[in-house]
Amino acid sequence: MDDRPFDRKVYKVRATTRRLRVGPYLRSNDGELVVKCLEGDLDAFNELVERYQNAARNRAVAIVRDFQAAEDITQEAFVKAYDSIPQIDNPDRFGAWLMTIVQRTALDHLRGKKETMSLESMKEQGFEAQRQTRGLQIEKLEDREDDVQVLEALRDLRDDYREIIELKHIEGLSYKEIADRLGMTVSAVGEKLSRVRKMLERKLTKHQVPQAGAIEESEAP
Amino acid sequence: MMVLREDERDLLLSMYVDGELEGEQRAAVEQRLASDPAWQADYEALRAATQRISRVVESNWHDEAMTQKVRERVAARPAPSTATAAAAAKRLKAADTQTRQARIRAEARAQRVRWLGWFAAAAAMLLFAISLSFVLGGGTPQTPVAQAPAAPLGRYDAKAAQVSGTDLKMERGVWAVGQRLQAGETQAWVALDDGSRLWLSPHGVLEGLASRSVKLLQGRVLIQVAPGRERFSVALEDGSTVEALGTRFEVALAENGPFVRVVEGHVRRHTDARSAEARGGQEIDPGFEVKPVDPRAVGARWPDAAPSEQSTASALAAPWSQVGGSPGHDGVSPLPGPLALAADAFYAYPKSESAEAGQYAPAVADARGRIFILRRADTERSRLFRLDLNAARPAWEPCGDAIHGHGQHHPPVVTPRGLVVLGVSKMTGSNVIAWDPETERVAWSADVGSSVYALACAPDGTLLASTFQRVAALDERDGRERWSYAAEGVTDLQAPACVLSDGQIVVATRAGRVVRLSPDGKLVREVRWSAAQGLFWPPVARTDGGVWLSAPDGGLANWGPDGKLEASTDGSVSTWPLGNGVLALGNRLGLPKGAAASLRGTSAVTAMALDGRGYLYAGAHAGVTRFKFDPAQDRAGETLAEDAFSLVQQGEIVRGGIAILPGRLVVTTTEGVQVFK
Repeated sequence: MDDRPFDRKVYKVRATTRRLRVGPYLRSNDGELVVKCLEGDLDAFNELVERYQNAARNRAVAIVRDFQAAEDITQEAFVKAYDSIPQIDNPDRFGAWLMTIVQRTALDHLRGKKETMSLESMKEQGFEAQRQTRGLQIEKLEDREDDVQVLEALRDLRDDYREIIELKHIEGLSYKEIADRLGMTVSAVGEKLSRVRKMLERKLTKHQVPQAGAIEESEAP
Repeated sequence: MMVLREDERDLLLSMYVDGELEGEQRAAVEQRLASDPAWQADYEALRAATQRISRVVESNWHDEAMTQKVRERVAARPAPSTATAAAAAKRLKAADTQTRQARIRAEARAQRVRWLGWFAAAAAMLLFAISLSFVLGGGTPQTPVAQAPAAPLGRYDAKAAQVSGTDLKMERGVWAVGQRLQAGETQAWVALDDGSRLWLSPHGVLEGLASRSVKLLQGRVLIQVAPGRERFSVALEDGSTVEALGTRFEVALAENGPFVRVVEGHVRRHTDARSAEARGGQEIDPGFEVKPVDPRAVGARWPDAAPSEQSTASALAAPWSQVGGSPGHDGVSPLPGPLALAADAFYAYPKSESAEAGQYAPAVADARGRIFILRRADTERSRLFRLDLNAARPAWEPCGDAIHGHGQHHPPVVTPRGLVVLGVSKMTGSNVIAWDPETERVAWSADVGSSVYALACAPDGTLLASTFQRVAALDERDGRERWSYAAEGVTDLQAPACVLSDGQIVVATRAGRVVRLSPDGKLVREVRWSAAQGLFWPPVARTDGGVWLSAPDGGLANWGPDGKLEASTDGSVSTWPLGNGVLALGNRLGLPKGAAASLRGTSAVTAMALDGRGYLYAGAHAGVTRFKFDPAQDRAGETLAEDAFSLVQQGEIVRGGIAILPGRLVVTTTEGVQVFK
């Protein structure tokens, strides 16, 4: 008889290369990053890729319904964005601008066209640059001091401490799975997780960061 | 009970927070938490830290492989020409500087307005003092002090209303603090600057007191409060105040006093001496009594007030206490459903290898974003599970231990107090169990003597258990039996009861006996429907007190309030109430009433739901199709975005397996639960 709880993992394709976003530009807003890109700073573009790849992939999946194709489309869209970045009008809206490129690339993929559809013709067909979506929450990064504080605290952790947090909270692994992956006992996993969390808690309390409120989410009507 | 070692406290609490403890260990930790404040404090701190970390980590990861690939491709490309890039950078920096300067100018303007406001207040006080001294002392009147511009509150519908009560000059269509706003012959909307929306009844009068504060002087007002740091308040002439945060409610001035009716959210009305709170589906009457109210009826009075287009996660906290699972509410929700489909809002659990099809009762949801499902493990055991969409990382969690007994096809119900009540079949012991999601414990359990096949919940919280041979009415607070009705020869009562607007109750047996009871369980009338076979769906209340009834193999019948059979058909029909006395029908052709397009495939319709946006979701075995439904026109419109729901492809939708949450659609299939947004 199967009396286990339901699968606790979110039902979606799992990557094994998921990592926390703890690059050097956590505190920079999109506009600053775009300007840095134009000044030749590839790390700034890297930060934009890290910020928006999930939203871009989700948008692509929603259009093509094919995870592998969506991966390719996302990559392609970022490369196109890099090429076109001198033309961007409003760098603070990089996310919305990127989503338009993702949509255009995904539609090209669906139609098997090599050539790129113009923005005008997309608009004629009813495709507008989306306003904020859940995937674009990160645009509000500068307003979310709490996120940055937690990420900075995580960035300062020892690699093995950060890894166990990633396995637990990004990969969603159980203690047993983490133990198997790291060659530890289940109780050692529990003790280590407990230790890391307490360490983070102390660090964050010291910063006197107010507790974050409910998850914010906005969707384009 | 096992003994817990103090030196393992951190480990055990960590495992408990992560759901890694089971059975005896879990029970021991829970007992310790209940009795030991030190453990409780550590647990709360750890849980808060874990949630905070989880929330941030969840939304801030990237796929290193993807990042690396893009980086390699970009690095291999020719960089934008130095001149072009430099020109663009210069342009963007200049634009940024302009934007910053504009912001500084705006801030300076706002500061000036604030200073003027203080100056105006001081001037007003001075004027008052001077006037007073003139009245009292007979002095000489002074030169009037000029008034400063008042702070604008928002914009109003200038075609339907006008402002008065002040001689301040404001732009037409702008409503300011201190001004009265009076609606004309039609409803008038007001869009406040904080994002809140108000609809004022014809001839209604509002006065603007401050940002997020108004006074209702006449008529009714419907308020959709935008989330904000300050509570939104409505002052009333009797000195009381109504307060809310992120909600939708109506305040109506009647001859005997004010009524506060809550559609979604949580509202408090108070004076210095008295206070009352109401949640979605409740009203506070002039005497501060809290009573049930049908939010659909409230919404029907505001035809121009569309549901909020933006559905945020915080809106999930709006506790409309029943979303699906109970006649009277089943299938109809005042909540806005999903906006579009997104693949990343897709939570499911896989079918167990050993599980049989149809082992899940339809999921129910409370409007705090928690979804509950009863899973039948085998013929002896069931388990209630919960998916909390407000959690940092939504995951299915078991609610307590396994339940002795197996759940039926009908869903649990969510009571007005927020309890999740389920009925199970078993030979002995308690078979109605109330789970409290707040304490995460069983609130009470009741033995009604035999297996429970279906449950319903009246708006006052009375639970009606269909137990094959009788209907038992239980008190929501403690599970005590209030009354019971058993007709001679009835041995096939398996469908949920239906509560009519006057409190009367209708139950129907599989053999077609349709019984109407008074609110205290006394027989009012019984009629028979000879054609009925395999009666399963609950009766559906008509607005005039009549009843619709359908049977999977027996057709559809329609009785008037006097018990007279008015019409009947045969064939396979399933029914869903859509409010305002309109009924949706599903048949083997999959055609809801008046639908312009058929559902895909030819499977029978197994579930329907109407959301607050006016979309009708019809589920057949092949998937869910969305229709735009207009109750005023009594018809369904064109099929919308049909293939947007093709993701419902795992298993078949169970009977009644669609529920609405704010911005979400919850679909139960034989394979699991899927949540769309």
